Amino acid sequence: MITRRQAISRMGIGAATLSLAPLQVFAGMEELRRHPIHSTGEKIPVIGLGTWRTFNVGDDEELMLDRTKVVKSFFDEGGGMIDCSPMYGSARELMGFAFERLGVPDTLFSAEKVWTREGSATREQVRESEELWGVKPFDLMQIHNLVSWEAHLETLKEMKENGDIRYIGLTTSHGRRHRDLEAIMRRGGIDFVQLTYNLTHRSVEDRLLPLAKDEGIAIIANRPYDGGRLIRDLKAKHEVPQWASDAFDCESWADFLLKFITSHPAMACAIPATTSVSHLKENMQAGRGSLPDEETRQRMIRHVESL
Amino acid sequence: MISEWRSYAIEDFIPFTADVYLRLIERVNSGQWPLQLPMLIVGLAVIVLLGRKRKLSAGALLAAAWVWVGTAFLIQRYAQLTWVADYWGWAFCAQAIVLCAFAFGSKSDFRFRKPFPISDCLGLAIALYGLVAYPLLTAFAGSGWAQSESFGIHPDPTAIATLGILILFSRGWQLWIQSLIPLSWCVFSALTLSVLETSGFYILVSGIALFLVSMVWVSVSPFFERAQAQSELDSQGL
Repeated sequence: MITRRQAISRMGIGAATLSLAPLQVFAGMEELRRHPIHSTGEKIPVIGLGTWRTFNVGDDEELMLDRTKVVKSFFDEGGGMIDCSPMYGSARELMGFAFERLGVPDTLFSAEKVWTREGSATREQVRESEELWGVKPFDLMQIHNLVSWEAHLETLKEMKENGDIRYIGLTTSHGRRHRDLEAIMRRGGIDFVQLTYNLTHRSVEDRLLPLAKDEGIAIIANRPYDGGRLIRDLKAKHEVPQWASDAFDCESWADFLLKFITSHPAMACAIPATTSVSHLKENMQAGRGSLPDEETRQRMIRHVESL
Repeated sequence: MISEWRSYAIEDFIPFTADVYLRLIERVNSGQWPLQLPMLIVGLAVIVLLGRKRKLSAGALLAAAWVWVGTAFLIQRYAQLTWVADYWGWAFCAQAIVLCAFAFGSKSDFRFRKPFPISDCLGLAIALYGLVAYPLLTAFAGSGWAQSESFGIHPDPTAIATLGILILFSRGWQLWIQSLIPLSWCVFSALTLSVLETSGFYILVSGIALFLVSMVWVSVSPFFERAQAQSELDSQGL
């Protein structure tokens, strides 16, 4: 069966699709760094796009068009992973709205979540999300905040075997339920884990990130800017240190914060969220150029702690 | 488990950004214009009717405003952004029933007294703050009239004006019960606005502060008045 995504990308439906020819229009642009999904070796761009808060706009068409520009810019810049959830209000509807106008790019790596306490409702919610996005099958289906994870995981494994989804993941945020997460990671059968990791929240470095590397699990870092506060405060009060620019390609605080995350060996990608095209471009730039080495990473930690 | 709860912040429960909320205000304004003007008249009429001992008419008008905001703003619009708004919408409808029930059953026989006692001044001030000042302040603090908030259209000024009206005509446990939903909404909304960092936060918190001061005053003033009356009787040797 041909999927909607395949049909659209083969037929090149819609004028907007033509404007979504990023690799042709921006042929001279350096490609984004890609990191592997350990379970298959497939590589994805290290900067993705989060949608928590930013893509929940109700039925406001003006804002929907506004966010569609962010999505377009994301793919123009060579982006891959967009991460969403049924918990994020109308964000799933917005994805469908955007792809109706832009077409579904071949480079999309669709990451959705199952978020329901009803363990028997996994398939139903995945189907609902597929309809809302206009995308089938999802590349990655995650169990949001480990809600009813046992029942969902069983069904997701069956779905993966049947080709209804490509990868399985688990998510937490804010450092919650790390013990449970660790136990599930050790059981095997998980391709991705999404957790909070940024310069000021590094508790996962001790156990979860090394474990992910050992178990061949790809990590997605959510809240890379600590909900926006971190980069807002840094931008408002401090200059990017010159030593960082000398040590690696670091022109902005977005480079500083995102490259710290993506330079960790266990990290597949970071998913900053934004409502602004200019911020999006700044974020995507952090997926290009050299990364800090371990010594520089330690200096980055000390620097931010000293501010 | 406790440490897990501590990891939550208010912002974790607000699933949208400030521009989305302000656009919601704006869209409701343009969609319902010119209902803002009749609603202002309804609010003022409630105060006048209460002053003329027409509790039932006043209660019905006030309840109608609550039902309208609960359904047209909260359930139909705001609930698209957050599921909590759906429950708040039903809470607003419940408040309408509470207002009608007390208007029907209340034995209090409010009338404006001269000179105005402090509690009446406070109640009238809060009611007028919600009815008249709120649209002006939100217009000046935001992006003009498009983002102004009005009684009977938006929940914050509706709740604040109602709290003022309650301070005017209700007392004791009846005042507390009737204030429960409006005050809870105001606290919820103030927390939301603080996360969104909009100027509307300060306008709402000012209204809440004024109401809390008034609540304290109407709760303690009868004791002072009784003590004063007693001392007058004592001084007259009665």
